[in-house]
Amino acid sequence: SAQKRGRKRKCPTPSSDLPEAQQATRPKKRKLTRVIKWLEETPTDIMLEIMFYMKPIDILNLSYTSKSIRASLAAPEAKHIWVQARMNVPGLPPLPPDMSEWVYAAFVFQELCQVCYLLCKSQDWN
Amino acid sequence: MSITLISKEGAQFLVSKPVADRIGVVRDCAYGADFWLGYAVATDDSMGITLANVTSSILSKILVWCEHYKDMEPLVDGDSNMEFPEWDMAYIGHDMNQILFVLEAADYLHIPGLLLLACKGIADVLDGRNPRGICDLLGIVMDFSHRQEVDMDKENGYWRWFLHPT
Repeated sequence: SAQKRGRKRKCPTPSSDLPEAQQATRPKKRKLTRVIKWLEETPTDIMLEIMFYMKPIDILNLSYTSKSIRASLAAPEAKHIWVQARMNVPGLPPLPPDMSEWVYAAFVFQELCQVCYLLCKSQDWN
Repeated sequence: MSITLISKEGAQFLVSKPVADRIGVVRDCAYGADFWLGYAVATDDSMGITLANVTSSILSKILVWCEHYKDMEPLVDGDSNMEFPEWDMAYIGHDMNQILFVLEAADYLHIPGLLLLACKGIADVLDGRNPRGICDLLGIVMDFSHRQEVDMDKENGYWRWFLHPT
């Protein structure tokens, strides 16, 4: 086996010596990338006004675009956006108690088979 | 009485009082003091009001809207299912960049009716687009990690369709 060259860098405090709680809170290294944060740069009232007119599937699609938008829309504070989006679809049944807004929007509006996860163009509800 | 508006490039637009009343900033500049102080500040018509953040092309487009609504009241508040008039939807169009500029200018100039119309226009443009289409349209950079992609795939399988649309 090849012998390793150079001096091995020593960790001042080995992680095994630290208590568990401290290990969990140690910050992880993250790759820094510049991201255009459209949602953050747009004023909140204008963003809410745009979402006021959108349907649940459009908000679901918007949530798949970037991390920050997804986090904002998945937060409990964003429930009123989903409620308003459901109101924009006339005749939509109310939210079942065992489903979240997110899952309900995906279930009703995505043209996607729930079994094979393939796109299906035609929906035969009968 | 008419008011001269000066755009970012320095172009001058002469507008009448009912048209200028639709623009909140101009109304406050020209007539706000009339209400509060008892006299008008902008007595000199030749002075003009400089709108430093609005370009000439967008200002002329906005003045078309103000001209159309100088006699009637635009939709300012209401139900989200309420339909905008056909003229409004034809006016705002489907060009995303143009709508975003109009939205920005309407926010700056305090025109609530046009702001709502621009928001409705953006919502209409985004209607029925997939995530990649929305990203291309708005210049959003996708920053999901591989782990999150896998999580989303497990969530409802949507990511699979997104990566390999059939």
